[in-house]
Amino acid sequence: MATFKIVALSLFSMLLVLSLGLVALTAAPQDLGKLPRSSVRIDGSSTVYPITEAVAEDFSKVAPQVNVTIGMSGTGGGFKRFCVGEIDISNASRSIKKTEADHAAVAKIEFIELPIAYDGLTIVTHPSNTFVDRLTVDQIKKIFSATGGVKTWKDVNPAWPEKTITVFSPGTDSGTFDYFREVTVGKDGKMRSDMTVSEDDNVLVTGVAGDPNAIGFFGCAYYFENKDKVRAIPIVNSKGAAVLPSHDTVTAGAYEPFSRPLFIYVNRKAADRPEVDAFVRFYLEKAPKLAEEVGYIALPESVYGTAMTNWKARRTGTQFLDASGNPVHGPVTTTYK
Amino acid sequence: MSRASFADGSVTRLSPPRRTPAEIVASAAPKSAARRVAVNRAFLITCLVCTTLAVLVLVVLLISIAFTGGHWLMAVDRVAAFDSAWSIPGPFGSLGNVAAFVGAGLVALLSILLFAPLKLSLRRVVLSVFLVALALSCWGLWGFIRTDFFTEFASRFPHKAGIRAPLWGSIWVCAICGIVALPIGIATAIYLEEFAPKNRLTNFIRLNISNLSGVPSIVYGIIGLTAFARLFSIFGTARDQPGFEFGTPEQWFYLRLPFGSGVLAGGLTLMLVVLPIVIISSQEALRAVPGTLRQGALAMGSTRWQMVWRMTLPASIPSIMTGAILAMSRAIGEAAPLLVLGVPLFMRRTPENLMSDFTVLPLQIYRWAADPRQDFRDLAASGIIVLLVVLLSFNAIAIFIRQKLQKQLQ
Amino acid sequence: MSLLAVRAAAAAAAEAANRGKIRSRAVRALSDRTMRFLLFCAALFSIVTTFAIILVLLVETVKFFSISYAAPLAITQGDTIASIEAAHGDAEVLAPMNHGIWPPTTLDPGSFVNVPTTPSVVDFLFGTRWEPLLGAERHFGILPLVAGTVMVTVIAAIFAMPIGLITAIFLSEYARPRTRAILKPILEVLAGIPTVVYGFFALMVITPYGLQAPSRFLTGLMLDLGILRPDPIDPGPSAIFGGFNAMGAGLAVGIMILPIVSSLSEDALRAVPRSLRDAAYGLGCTRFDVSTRVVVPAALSGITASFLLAMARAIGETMIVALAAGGLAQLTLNPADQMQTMTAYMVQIFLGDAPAFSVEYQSSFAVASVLFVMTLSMAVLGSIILRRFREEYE
Repeated sequence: MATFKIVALSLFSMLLVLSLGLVALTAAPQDLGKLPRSSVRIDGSSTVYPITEAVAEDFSKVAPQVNVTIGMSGTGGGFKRFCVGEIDISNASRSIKKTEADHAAVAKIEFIELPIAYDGLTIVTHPSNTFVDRLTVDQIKKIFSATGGVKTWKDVNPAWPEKTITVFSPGTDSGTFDYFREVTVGKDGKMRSDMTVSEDDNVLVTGVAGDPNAIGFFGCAYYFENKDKVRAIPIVNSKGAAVLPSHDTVTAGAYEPFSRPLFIYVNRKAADRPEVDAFVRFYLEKAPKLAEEVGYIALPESVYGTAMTNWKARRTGTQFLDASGNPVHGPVTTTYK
Repeated sequence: MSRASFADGSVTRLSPPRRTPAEIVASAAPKSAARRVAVNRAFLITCLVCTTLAVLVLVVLLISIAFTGGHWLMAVDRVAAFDSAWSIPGPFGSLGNVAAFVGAGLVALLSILLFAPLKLSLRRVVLSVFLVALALSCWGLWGFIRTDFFTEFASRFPHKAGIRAPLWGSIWVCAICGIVALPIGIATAIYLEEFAPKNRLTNFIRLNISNLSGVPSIVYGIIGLTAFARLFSIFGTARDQPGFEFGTPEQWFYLRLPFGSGVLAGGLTLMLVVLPIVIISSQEALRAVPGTLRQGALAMGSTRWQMVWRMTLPASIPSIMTGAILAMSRAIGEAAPLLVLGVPLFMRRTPENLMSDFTVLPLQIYRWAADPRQDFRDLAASGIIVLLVVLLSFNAIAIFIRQKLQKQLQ
Repeated sequence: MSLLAVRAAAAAAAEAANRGKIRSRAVRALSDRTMRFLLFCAALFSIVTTFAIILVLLVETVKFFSISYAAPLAITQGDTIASIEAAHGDAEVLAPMNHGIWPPTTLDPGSFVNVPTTPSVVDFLFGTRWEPLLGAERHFGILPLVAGTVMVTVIAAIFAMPIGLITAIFLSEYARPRTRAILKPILEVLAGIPTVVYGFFALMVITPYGLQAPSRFLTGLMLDLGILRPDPIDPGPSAIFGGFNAMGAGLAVGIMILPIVSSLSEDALRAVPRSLRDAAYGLGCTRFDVSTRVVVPAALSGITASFLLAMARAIGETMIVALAAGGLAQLTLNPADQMQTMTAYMVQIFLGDAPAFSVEYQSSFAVASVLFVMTLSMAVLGSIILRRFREEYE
């Protein structure tokens, strides 16, 4: 009994010391800012997620009392929560759709639209796959559409081997998916149904990296972060050149048709809260640097200036839908004023 | 079917054995002696292979995790210096560091010896050496550990990432789970063992509990989502209009209906998962108390409850504690039910009140493991090391208490 | 023992007396009755939990089968809007596909209109395509998910049951007490490891080093020996297993249930009375004879119950398959393919892949119901076997 007591006491005291040490380490006094203890709720695109995460991380160093939580439900999922007022900011890898704008109007929610970066949507395959040296938009359409009937690489190009293609794609709630579908098979077209689907682009990277016959697509940040694991396929643009996504090709407009702007949409009522205002200003200031750091491409300086002006003026509504509710394409500098 | 009656009036049914003992033994009638011995030897080798395989799997698991995760936990510069020179400045000089590795080896050896039957005096010596070695190794190893890992939040940079938010989230959620699950579980066990009449309702309760222990934990997550987070949607679903508020967010006991996916809902969901384990182990603990003790108390005129409260419960508390510790270690490792609850991906805040968002260590490990970048996978391994250290120490304490008890009862 | 009892009882009585508060009989009876009631309420909580599970799953599954979603219907010769609406319960025909104008003036045969459809129970239970999120049509046939679950469980069972049973026999029949004292804690440690860790292990160690590397080695060997013809385009050794595959996840689940099988089987084996074993030894049997012909058959009901319980646990396993098995629901018999299990699909939905309260979201509840029924029936079967077929030898 005596030994039992000794051992129990010593184990207990060790645990006590350890936990006290832990408490002392983690309960260090925090920086006090002028902002109140509050939270900012963000959800939406997994493409935009890395940028928002980087901004939130740096922001929390400056204002640790503001709790920024970010989800990854996909652009569509984020908009659904945005349009019922569940979140303050929606990450979007495409502009808002007419149906979503109508839902917001019905719920009496006004939104402020802010473009924050360029993405060169990248189509990737396994590094051991060397025969796919380029793809045209038609070939991509054939592979991904429900009516293309493509099962093996040979169906796309007779010179390629007869190996079954494994397709990885973001899910229907993803803005990347919407954008890709619109560009390849058209707004009303249907994509094939036997794809591995995930809202989390990390899962897609792992999937493509593990399967020699895989093909997938996601935002270019995920490609640049995992260049050792996946290989980007050059896309033939309208001038006939096969182009890989990079900072220069996207900025110059040579990587097409898969260059697109990324957005955040902010709830107008939330904009009145000081923490949201501070966060969005911080976002627009840091976005050029952080977007590049994360792997995306910064927009021209003038666009960020316009965005800040619009933010300060609290300009609501979208400029990326035309009168009949169709999305507007073209350079951001001309569309966004 | 025959019945057997016992002295206290309870009746049980005995089914006749399918074969009589004579038949059983006769069927094992010996054949050629040499062949049987050879078969026996072959089977023994098979047994040893299988058992070694089971142990080997554990060893490979632990080593692979230690290799991948070790470097995020260690202060890289100090370890590098150790490679090049045998003595580096540690918290208590190089003697402490050498002792750390000696102590670690001794700890491994002694913990094996600890569970073997030894003479009492020898045991005391072994224990004292074990304690000294443990203290020295902790002392020396502390200089190597990178405390940033415990104080930093998750980050997009692997070298800046830490487990502060999930660590505190786990502590909050498991504390709530334990506070709720232990009383209910122990009370249920007491009722079933001491008070329950032998009727169909009691059998139904017992059947229920054994079925509940087989339910997948993700189903409990669904129940937690519907019943606790959303409270069956009685109060509406929008997050910003709570149906009912009590207290302010600054106070730790701030309550808001519906609970949303805060630590309270998470703790209650884990309680559902852990409850069957607590009940079953408490039942076994109570059953182990000899019936004569109970009869003696009743004979002296105490009521049933007095007997339980003053006699049975104190006698069985060590076993109940063992069961509770094992149940808590299950709660710490559960991730699936909390996933369903809807835990946010990015948390740079530790919980402050009962309604706070949270994340737990297993979920953070899951997020890091799913990231294709190797650095984040290594971080996941570091998180696993922390988790396993906590769990193994819980297990060790529980096993130790149980071994101690077995000695007492013999 | 009886002395201890008398001493303890006397101490309790003396304590009450010393407090100067020997309560009246009525008060004691009242407190006894109150506590009895409170404890009964606590015991009822487990029944409440079971009912809550059944109720919630039932309600949500019924909701799943009554949500209508737009499914395409091919137009044949002679269809008009009125006839389609009449055939589909007067529901309003939704916007057609591949047309730009609404309402359409003509319905061309071969084109499609969207009609509101609700998932059908038969299609759900017996359909072979699970494509709830994408594609031209939505399919809610659960068989691919069930196939994934069954494949992972079968691989786990093939790994864990023989090894677990043999380990249990070793521990109860062959091992010395000292060996037992070391091995049992090791197995308990295996049992206590969180499943996320096994998932990580499957993804990081089992698949690359345990499956892909040996496959590459073997196929390289076979190519060198001329048994395999080299692929013209990709002539090197192939890894056979993809990054996500059912085999790695199955092996990890097997490791997870190994301690369950071995400890429960060992309990069952040790419950067999010594007299049987001694009698067999007396007749000159070896340990092997005793184990396989006397002890195991006697404990068969307990061993079967342990197998069933372990399989129930394997079926309900979530984190391992979510990390390692993949996300493509396909009906295949090849363990090198990726397969989505029921639990992995539920994780995918709850992590935000579907808008709340839509048909895809509700489908995860329907899948949860099937999962619950499967595990419940295994657990119930296990207890029935245990109670009915247990051999009593007293």
